[in-house]
Amino acid sequence: MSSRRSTYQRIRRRETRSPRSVAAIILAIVLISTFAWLAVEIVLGMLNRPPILVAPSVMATALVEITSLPAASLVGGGLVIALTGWAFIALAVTPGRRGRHILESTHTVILVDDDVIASALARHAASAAGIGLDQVRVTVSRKRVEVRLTPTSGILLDRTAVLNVVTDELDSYQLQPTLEPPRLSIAREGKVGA
Amino acid sequence: MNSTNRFANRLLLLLVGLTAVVLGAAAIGLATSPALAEGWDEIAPGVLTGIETLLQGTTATQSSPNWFPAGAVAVLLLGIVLLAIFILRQGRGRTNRLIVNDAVKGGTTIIDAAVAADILNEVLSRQPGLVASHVSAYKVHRTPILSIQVTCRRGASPQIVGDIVDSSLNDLEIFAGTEIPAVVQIRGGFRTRHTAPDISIPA
Repeated sequence: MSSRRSTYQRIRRRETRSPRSVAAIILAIVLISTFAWLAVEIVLGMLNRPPILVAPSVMATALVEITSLPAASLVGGGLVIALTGWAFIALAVTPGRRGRHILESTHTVILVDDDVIASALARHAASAAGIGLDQVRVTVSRKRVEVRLTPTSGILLDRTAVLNVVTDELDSYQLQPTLEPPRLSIAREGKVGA
Repeated sequence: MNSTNRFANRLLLLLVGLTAVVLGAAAIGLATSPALAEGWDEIAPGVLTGIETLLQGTTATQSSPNWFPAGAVAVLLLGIVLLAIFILRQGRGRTNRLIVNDAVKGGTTIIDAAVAADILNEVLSRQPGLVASHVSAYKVHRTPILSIQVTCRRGASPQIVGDIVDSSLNDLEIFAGTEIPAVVQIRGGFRTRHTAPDISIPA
């Protein structure tokens, strides 16, 4: 049983974080293309054939004389390269949350997409407020739930009742990571003829 | 659910990122610090002539062949092969066998993942709150784990959908006579927006 728990633990961790596969695969393809091009250039150089783009010896000379380039273009180029690198480091280090929550279950691991939670809460909010589904907007992020209602013009909304219903429903899911109590906002302008 | 080596993914991103930051910082340094630029101008030409003689490779003027360019090509090809393996290893870990029980006297009982998939898909397709389901099995820590992905209708309660899947799985476990570790994914997704709101589940 304990091995199953550790397996479940691993799944919970993996399924709520990004694998960064897309970024890694794109980067690997770019590296493969660059390596292949460099290899071809070196072979062409060995055979004394004309290069595809730049001969290796020309590359080396350019690198040596890099200080003769205008300072502005060196700084600009360096900045672009450094910022790209910084973006890769950020991708490598940040968790990359996947917009999912874990639903309490003893038997299995249940992962729920945030938009499913949002649409379920929206339906409860709409029925509690007595308005249409299209007058409710719910957004669910990792820690927060925001409910925005557009009342029907001339009809007062029971703020506490809606909030209670949404809070109770959310509490019943027992989601991980825990969501803060929902925030409710009611649009000042009502919808006419709804 | 798959066995993608996420550490390797992040390590590749980190190494390339660090290299790029160092190179970019070096370029900026050469442009802004005269001392650095002077040092570069002093050292670089000497390094270049050294590399140049190496890169000339097996030209007619040389008596003995120079292996440096060939070595560089070999290193690049090795890099290409490693990166190709890296790409191909993404997203694997699926398995066809869900249960392998060799504790049975005189033989082994094997239940294919397809059996579980057929049964669960059939049961779940009758649920009005669900639009679609997809069942497959993956190996995690060498144990097969059933992956159940369900797409639910707009407004369906994740709690109720979770219970439905859970009880279907329970039935399957009774049928199979053993526990089946499983992961359930409840998705809304694109199709949800084009289906009617769920009215079958009381609010």
